[in-house]
Amino acid sequence: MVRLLFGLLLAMLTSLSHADPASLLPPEKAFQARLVMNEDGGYAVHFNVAPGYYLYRDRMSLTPEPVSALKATLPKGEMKDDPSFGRVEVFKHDVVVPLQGIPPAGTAIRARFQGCADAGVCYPPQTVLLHPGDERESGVAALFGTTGAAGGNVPGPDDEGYFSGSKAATIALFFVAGIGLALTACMYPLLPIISGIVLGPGRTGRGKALWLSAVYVQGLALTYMLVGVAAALTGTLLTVWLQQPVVIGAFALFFVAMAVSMFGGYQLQLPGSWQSRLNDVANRLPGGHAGPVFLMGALSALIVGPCVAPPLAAALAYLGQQGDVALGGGALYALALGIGTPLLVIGAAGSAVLPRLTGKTMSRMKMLFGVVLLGMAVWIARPLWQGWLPGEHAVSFEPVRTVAELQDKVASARGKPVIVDFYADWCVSCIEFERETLPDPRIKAKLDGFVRLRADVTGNTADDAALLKHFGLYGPPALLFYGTDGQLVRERVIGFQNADAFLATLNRIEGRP
Amino acid sequence: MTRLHARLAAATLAFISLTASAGSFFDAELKDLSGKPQKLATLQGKPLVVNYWATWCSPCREEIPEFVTLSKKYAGKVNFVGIAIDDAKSVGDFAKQYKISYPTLIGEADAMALMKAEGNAIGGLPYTAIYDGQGRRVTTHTGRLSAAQLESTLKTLK
Repeated sequence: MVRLLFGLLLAMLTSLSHADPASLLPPEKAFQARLVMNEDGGYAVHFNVAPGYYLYRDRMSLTPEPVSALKATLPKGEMKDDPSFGRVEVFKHDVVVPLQGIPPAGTAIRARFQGCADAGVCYPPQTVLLHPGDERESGVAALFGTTGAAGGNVPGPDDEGYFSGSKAATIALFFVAGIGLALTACMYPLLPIISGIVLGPGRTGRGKALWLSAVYVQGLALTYMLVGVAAALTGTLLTVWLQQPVVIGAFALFFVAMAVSMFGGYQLQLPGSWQSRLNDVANRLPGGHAGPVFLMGALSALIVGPCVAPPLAAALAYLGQQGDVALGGGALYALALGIGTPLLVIGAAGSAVLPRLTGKTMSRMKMLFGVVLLGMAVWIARPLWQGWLPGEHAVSFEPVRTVAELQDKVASARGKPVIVDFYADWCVSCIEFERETLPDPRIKAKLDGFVRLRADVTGNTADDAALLKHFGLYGPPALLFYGTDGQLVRERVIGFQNADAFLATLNRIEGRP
Repeated sequence: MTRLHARLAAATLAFISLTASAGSFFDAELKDLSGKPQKLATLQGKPLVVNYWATWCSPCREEIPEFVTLSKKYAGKVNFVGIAIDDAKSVGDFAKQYKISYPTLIGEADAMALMKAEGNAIGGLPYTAIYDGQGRRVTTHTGRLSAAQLESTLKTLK
């Protein structure tokens, strides 16, 4: 474990090292400005800052055209010690600049900004005129709505548009999403635990049961908060790590172990002597069993974790991209509180809501839980076995391994649009996409007109990392497109799209210059 | 609408870079600090270091004192010229403050086009191009160039 963490740290540091001046992005790729309209007609300008680049805060200006009272409020930047400017405020990550006031219809925004690459190269000041109506918000629901245990997800047309409201709104949405997750099968393994708390030894009335459930949920939530903070600090690394076969395998095995315990293979509990000692200590403490219950909550986070992994991975990826520690921690804390809310209700209602079961029914229930848990183990392990299922390769892709190779292929595509598929064996939605979307005859016909390239980043080699970094991606799934003019198209497909949605995307790409 | 704008901008840029690359670097003309046009042809005849920079560019500000030192050390053997992609006022102040001893020229779109024609497609600064005594471009470098790196190249030039 220690070695794993160390490796993680090392990978993080190398990914932070400077970019080579020879592979610098053109300014319009390093810094992308987009004007986003919110539901009530207000504006916000989103700046996407590629990893390894930064924008100077005091050289950023947004002015409405024609002139109106719209006022940009630049968020706080990070302090950078500049050898010749001293301490300056910079934006190293994507930043959203809200514009206060409702603009007259048709107002465009002239954005001026200037930035540099960490590699020690600066770009001339850029000026772009942003027009409204280019883009609309998509809600947080796109993230959680269908990515959950039900399987099959429909992300918005753009990976960057998930959230854009205030931090409080984002956190609130995470809370709601948590309640949603609590209603999935992921919660089953927690029910015996919570009922153990409520009905457990030393049950002394409703107040105490509620207090203990609350402590339990806090344990769960604080653990998630740590994960959120880690996501914000490590960028998107955590997400990629969570999708590694080893990690997935470990989670699946854990679920098998839980299932075996349900079947009565063994009793999942601490040795008797430990238990009584813990009880002794707990009874002397004012909070009763608070300590062990809190710990139980923290451990339960691990139990729920793998089950809610797909939406969690998406959320972590988002938080990692934001790099905002407060938002990361807050959002996942809220998510876990949401997950814990039904448990609190059970705690508050006390044993009354839990049906009194005979021993026979109870053991049948346990068997049922065991089967569900086994099913979940299989489901979690999907990335490990799905690739082995028989299934024809609907569409053939030409492999690309390096940035240079990709650029060569794009250059020689002359006149044909290009699709670049970032793929990995462990990427669930990549495989779903390949099995469900690509075989559609309409998609096959449409893709005949494309030069099809695939970057298989399963091995996570240095070349793979360079490819991902080149496009500012954190990992598969991702589909990128080049138009017939050989220019990278801004629209990307991140995540799964079904045949209809993907066909619409392809039509849009084809319709470009 | 924006797509049209982008295309127009791209076309304009392509046009500018075409017109600039029509001649070589030494055919171009840029203004000096007093606003007088200067022919780059006058810099020919000796090895030449062309440093593109700007006052808003931190790595440029770091390397310029080293360029000044080297230009003094190689005085009479190697010509230096700074081309600032910036406004005249800031450049004038900076040149005085940093005691830049070699000629400094100023340009905006024209200097940018010249730099792109010299192979700096993305327009990042600082950018340094080195010519030999016959006016052939020997090497170019994007990003901060250390005194040691620059000097090792200068030693090979005739």
